[in-house]
Amino acid sequence: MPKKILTVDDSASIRQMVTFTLKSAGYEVVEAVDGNSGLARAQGDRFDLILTDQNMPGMDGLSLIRALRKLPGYPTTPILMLTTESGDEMKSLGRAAGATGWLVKPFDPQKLLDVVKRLVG
Amino acid sequence: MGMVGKSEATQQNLIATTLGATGILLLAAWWAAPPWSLVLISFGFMAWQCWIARSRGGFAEAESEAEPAGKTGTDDVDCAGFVRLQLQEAQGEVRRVQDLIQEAVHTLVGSFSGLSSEAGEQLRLAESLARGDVGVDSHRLSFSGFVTEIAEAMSSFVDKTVENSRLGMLLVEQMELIDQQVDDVARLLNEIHNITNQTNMLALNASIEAARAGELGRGFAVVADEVRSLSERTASFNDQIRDLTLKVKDSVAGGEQLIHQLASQDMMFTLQAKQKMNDTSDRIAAIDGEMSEVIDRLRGGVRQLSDHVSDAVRSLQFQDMVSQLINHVAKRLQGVEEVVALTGSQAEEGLGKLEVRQAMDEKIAGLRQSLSKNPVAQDKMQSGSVDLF
Repeated sequence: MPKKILTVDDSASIRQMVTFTLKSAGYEVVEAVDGNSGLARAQGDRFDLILTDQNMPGMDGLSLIRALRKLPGYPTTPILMLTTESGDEMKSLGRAAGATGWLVKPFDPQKLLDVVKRLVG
Repeated sequence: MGMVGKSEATQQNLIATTLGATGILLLAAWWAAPPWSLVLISFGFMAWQCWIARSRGGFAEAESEAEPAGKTGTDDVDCAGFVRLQLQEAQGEVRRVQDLIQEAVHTLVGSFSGLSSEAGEQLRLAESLARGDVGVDSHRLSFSGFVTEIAEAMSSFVDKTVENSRLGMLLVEQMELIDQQVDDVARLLNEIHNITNQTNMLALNASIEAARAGELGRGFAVVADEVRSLSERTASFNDQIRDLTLKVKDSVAGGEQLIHQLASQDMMFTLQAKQKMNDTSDRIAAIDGEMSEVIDRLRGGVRQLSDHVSDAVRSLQFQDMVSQLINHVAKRLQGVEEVVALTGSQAEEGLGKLEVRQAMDEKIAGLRQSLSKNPVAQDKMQSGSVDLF
């Protein structure tokens, strides 16, 4: 049974690249176009890991993480930020919101895979 | 006084507006990335040109003092309208650039991922072919395994043939022995033939002696005749046996020759087949080595391709970063448009210099606040950092 990963990003190309990278390694990947649809997906399904962008229309990444942490089944699920934001202040906010890690774009596919494997196997 | 005063105020408003817009555009250009700096500088230049043109018209108005009161304001609005229109057009074009880049990147990512998948599949197929894992499970065929099996079967066949040849030679020896024994039989038959002749001679003598004895020898004559008859029958059997023995001897000789030929031919054929099989095995081993080398090279090529695709995936993320930067630039243009719109409306409303300055300061302060945070700090496409909390 492959591990199930949710990728939330308003950029279609980033979703496409994340999906390609993770699917190539055998993971099942579900895409969501923004924070709200990502939250809806998470409520309707069970994911082993969630990747989210920060700057998205509607609900941003930090708000999504805060909402996810309140959901049953997601208090300890690994949630990674994948964003162009790289400031220490933002990272601190992410950590406080409940993010497991912070990846700055552009991501290296192998590094992303290494991190995902380390977190979910 | 009223007309002149309003004309001066309008002139001041115009100067303030154009200088303000130019200043904001240049300030935005200073903040923006290099390509967008050029766009903003161009708009700044347009605003400055507007100011120059309007200044010339304004001086002409001052000299003639005959222009209608509302004309200056209308020209200001036209100038501001022109700048706003250009800003709106620029925003539309920026969105088109975003759409074009997004579509192209989407296609490129699809192409690269397809390329990578195809290369991986080709490698898997090549490895399967080399291992012979082609076909359904119950009928898998291994090329090297097939050759090994054939070589083993051939070796077993050669061993059996050598054994057969050895037995054939033994058989030839046995046939030679039979031939010798047939010769012995023939010699014994000669002895029997001699005995028969002597017996016949004795019977003849006995008959002669019986005839001499007359009536007394008649019974003995009958016995002599019987002995001679037996001797002749013995001689006849002896001849038949000799003929049969000669035929047996010929048959044994023919069989011996055939067995000898068979053993020789089997051995020759088998040795030739074995040599061919060894040559074929050597060639297959060489081909196997070449295939392994090709697969190693193919594996290296796929690995390199995978690295290149990773680089491409990383580089193609420029679209997301550029898109965010463009959005930010679009927000700046939107801000400039709002400022220009504000100056135009204030000019129409005929507000005083101080009021204009206050409204503009508030607007600019708000824009500075909202535009101060750039979502993209990177200026290179190297891989971003990874922090696990």
